[in-house]
Amino acid sequence: MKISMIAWYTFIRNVRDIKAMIVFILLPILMILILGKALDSAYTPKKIDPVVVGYFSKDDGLLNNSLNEFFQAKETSSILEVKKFKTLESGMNQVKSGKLKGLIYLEDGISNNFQNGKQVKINFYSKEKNSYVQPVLESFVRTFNIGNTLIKINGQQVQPNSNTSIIKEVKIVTEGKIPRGVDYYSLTALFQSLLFGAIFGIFAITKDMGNHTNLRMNAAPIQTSKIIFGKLLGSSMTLYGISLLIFLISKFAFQANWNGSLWLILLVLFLFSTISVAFGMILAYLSKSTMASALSIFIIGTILTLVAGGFSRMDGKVIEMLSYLSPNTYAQKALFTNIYDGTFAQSNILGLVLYMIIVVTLTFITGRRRIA
Amino acid sequence: MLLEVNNLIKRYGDFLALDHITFAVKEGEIFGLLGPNGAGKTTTISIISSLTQYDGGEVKFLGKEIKRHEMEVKQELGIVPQEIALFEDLTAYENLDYFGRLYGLRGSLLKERIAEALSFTGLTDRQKDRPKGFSGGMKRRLNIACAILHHPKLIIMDEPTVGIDPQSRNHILQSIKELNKMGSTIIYTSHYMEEVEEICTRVAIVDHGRVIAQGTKEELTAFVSTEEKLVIELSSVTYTVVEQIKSISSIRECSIKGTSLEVIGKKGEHNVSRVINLLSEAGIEILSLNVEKPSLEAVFLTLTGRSLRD
Ligand SMILES: Nc1ncnc2c1ncn2[C@@H]1O[C@H](COP(=O)(O)OP(=O)(O)OP(=O)(O)O)[C@@H](O)[C@H]1O
Ligand SMILES: [Mg+2]
Repeated sequence: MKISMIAWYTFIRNVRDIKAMIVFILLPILMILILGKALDSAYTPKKIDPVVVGYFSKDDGLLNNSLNEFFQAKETSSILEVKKFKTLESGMNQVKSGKLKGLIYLEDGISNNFQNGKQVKINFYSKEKNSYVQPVLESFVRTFNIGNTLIKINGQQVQPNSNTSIIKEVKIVTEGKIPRGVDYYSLTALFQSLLFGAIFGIFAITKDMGNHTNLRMNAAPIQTSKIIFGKLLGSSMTLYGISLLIFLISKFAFQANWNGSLWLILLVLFLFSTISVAFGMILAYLSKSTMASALSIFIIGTILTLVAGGFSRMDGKVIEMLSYLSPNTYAQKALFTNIYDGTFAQSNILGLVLYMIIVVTLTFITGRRRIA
Repeated sequence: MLLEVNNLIKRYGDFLALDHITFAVKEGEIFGLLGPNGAGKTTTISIISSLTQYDGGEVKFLGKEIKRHEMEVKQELGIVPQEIALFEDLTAYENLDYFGRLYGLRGSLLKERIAEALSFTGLTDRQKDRPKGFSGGMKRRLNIACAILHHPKLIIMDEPTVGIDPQSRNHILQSIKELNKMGSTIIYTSHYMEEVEEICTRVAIVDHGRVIAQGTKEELTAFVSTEEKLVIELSSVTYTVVEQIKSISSIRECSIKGTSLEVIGKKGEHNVSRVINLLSEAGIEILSLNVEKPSLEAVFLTLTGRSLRD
């Protein structure tokens, strides 16, 4: 009861801080615009090397021919480099040894069966899920799926589609699947500005020191940990709300690619908002000063964004190790993997959860320690 | 005893802020903690409110050690901090709602208590406004309102009248008396002895972290002084009367100041009735008569050799 009351009023007080609200909604939008648009060329999807896949066919009918044509089309060949194999075994060996990302395999008589109206399958073997091969195949398959006749890939059913040209389909696939500048920076700038949103955690503590209301709160019959929890909740919700707003703006106004699982996006944004606010509260408890905390979070936030590749992608062993200190790394990886690969990067999501648990625990420790 | 403070010690590093502070507050009284700046009043109050740790001694509320019954004791205390403690970004009503809920009030009882506190402090009209735009006096009043919502057994007020106009100050002093009549025990700290003299039933004088004297105002002043001063305004004065008054054995001095007589004599010797008898026998009309007792200021001066205000 008391916790939710504190959370509610903390939220209300944040929202009434019009200046802060405007700054922290505009900041990420400006950063997305500047980083995403201006640096679009700087970031550009470096020309990706085509993915090398194997191809083995026991079929020599329509599907085999069409697929070969499809592989040779300019748009496909820039994405897929197809090696043909004489036996299934030799291809599979290369998949297992990692030389190939996967192997496409057509069974005997598949074209006949397809033409006789039976449901057929294109097999795709792969050690790992791969970002490009499957959607490329799907776009091929879509052009053939007319009426009730279905081709399946990997047992996954593909919805019938109209007879659009192969080329166009491939283009759509590439556009969606390779992050453009605005896509990449919509994410990294969002997380960077959410780190600066730690200011709401700072405010939750320092405003009550300035108002002397912390005296009253500490004199009231409520455990300190509940006060901390209420404030954490209230300010996290504020920042979470802001993050959702920016998510919507970047999705609909900037057309950034957010085509992943909505639930995952909501979860990651929530975890990240909480981490950020907890950061702010820790700094405020330690420094007892709005200025000092705000300055610290600006510096720390910039470093954490930098090592997570928020300004430009960085390579190198040291940077990679450092990047795991940054919550941005986990959040960005979790979302990128989901949006561009369709999979759930469990280790990154878990990393973000652990990160939150650690930071929140530290918040409670510093918050309770403070009473002299 | 509602509150017992025994040999309380508080150090800030090497500095001894409280040096064996000892006093007790009975249920139903307005207890004054009088002392100059830095005496240790706020520190004492912070310890009673469980806001500050202490280094020695004990504090008992209704016989219970406050350290071991923290939540229970906090529920029964109403704290009016020395610094105005209000959410600037919430309205007066919301401030009260916040603190009422912190003390476990809710529903219709909470609404009732908020309305009561607002009308008690004369802020009903301003309940929808934020304290940002309030005058100093109004902020002080809201500061008090926030502390009385839950009808605490003990209200602790730390200099609740600092920096406000005389009118607001009177309003606050009156409302403190009223709260007391309604059943609350009050601890009132101040370095204005006039205030303490006006409202407190008992007083502890604190200096350098020690209680240097305590008791009722009469006990304290008796402690420093054995004399009293009469100031009598008369229609006319004759020297014979002055000589006659001077001849009373318990009277030490009698002098004419304009149309008034100033008489200083030993206490408890019926000086007033003797002087009145003499004057009426001489046919002199008494316009007014005032017995001035030594003030707490004088007590402080006698005990420390310093004035309270320094
Ligand atoms: N947090 C602190 N750290 C160090 N010294 C402190 C601290 N708080 C109070 N003191 C010192 O303890 C002494 C008592 O302070 P306290 O605030 O209790 O006095 P006070 O009687 O309330 O004075 P005032 O009338 O000015 O409010 C002062 O000398 C003060 O400087
Ligand atoms: Mg004080």
